[in-house]
Amino acid sequence: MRRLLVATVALLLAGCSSLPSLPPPLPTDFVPSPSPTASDYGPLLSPDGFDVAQRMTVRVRNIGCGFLATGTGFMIDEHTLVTNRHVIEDSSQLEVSTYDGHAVDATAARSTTAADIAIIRVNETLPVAARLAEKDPQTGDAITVIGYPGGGRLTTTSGIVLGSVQDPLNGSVGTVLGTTAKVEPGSSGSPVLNAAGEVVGVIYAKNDVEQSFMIPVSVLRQLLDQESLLIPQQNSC
Amino acid sequence: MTTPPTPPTPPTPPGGGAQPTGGILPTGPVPRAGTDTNAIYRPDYGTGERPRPGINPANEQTTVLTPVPERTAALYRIPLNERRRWQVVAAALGVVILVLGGLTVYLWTASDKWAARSANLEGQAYDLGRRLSTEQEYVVQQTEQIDILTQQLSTAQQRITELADQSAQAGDDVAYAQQEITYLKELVSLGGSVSLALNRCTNEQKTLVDYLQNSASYPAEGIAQFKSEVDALCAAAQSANAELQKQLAQ
Repeated sequence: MRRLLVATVALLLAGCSSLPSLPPPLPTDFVPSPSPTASDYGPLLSPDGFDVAQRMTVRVRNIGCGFLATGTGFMIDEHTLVTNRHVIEDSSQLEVSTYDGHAVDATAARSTTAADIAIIRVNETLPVAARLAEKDPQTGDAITVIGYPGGGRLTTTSGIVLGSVQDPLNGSVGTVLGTTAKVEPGSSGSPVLNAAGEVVGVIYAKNDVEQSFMIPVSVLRQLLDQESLLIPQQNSC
Repeated sequence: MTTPPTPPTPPTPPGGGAQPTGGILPTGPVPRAGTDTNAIYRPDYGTGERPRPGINPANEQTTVLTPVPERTAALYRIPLNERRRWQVVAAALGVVILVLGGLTVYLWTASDKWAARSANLEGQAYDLGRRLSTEQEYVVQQTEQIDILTQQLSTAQQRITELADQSAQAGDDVAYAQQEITYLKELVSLGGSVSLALNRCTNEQKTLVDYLQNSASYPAEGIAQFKSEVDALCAAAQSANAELQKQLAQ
């Protein structure tokens, strides 16, 4: 009998534990408060909707001795831009204009014979700068080229990396990279971007089958690290 | 074993009340054997012994009989242990009934509260649904606005690019014009020099003609030297003029 009582009490306790509980108090608001996060596009887009790649790319005008030539360049810091040596050769004056037509005067230019690379300094502070990739692109990598082909509008083209080749102009030490991106005269000095928006090379030539050639970013980095290789450009007129 | 006596008189409950009836169980003492001549003697069920028919129990064992009044209540005919068992069962049933009652009240209350909660949540769900619908409509409107603004932004970007290009082309034109002006200035300067040289050539040739017309007045060697200088001057002027004409022809 005592066992029966104990069993009954245990059963009752067990049953009580499985009883439905009373409803808990309701929350005051079922709508979660929004968690504002910084937009990923904040630093990439300017208020006028142009992205970093477009804003960092500039048009270079070479007013030479009896001639006028145009090319492309890109900012690597607030006052320094990179272009091709042949863009600034025989210049008496260099002028730079941005994606929105803002004109900036160049104050000095330096170039090297190790590659078709030149550095231009400007007094005015430009808003954005390129990020240089750590490594050269691999064969088959997708690339984007932004420049001013023919000295015209800012244009974006795309292609893939074909691989390392010898410099067809024999103006560079080491090898360069061929690409399928279509470029024109005036595109010289255009930045070549990878999928992450980093600069992986500088366009400097093309051939008859619409292939373009770029100086890999590793060479550019070496030149920037060894400023002694960069010789000031003299006014040729 | 004793002979069963005449039918007994029911015992009076303690306190001297009426005779027990039906389900009321008296708690008075059970009459003992030998004290009541009207008692019926039966084996005590508590010992588990029952007389077996056809056998004289005296030959087997002696059993103490508990006298049970013939007309006592049914409860008092139940042995004590079994009565206690029934009392425990009744108490347990009472407890169970109380518990079940409490459970019923609790479940009733819980059911009411959950029903109220359900109604509340349903109302809030409808409210949230209405708000969601409003927000979705707002999102659609904003999406349309974003599409329009995106198109406008794209158009503005194209326009900015066009204007930048036009500005750049204008800058090229200005630079080219400045180069042309510089070149023309050089040509004008060159033309002036050529003109000056040609004028000088002409004047010197006139002087030479005068010298030749009055050759008797001048030494022949002096006239020859002057002629040589005039020829060189005119040759230089003609050369400069030829170069000017060549550049003008370009």
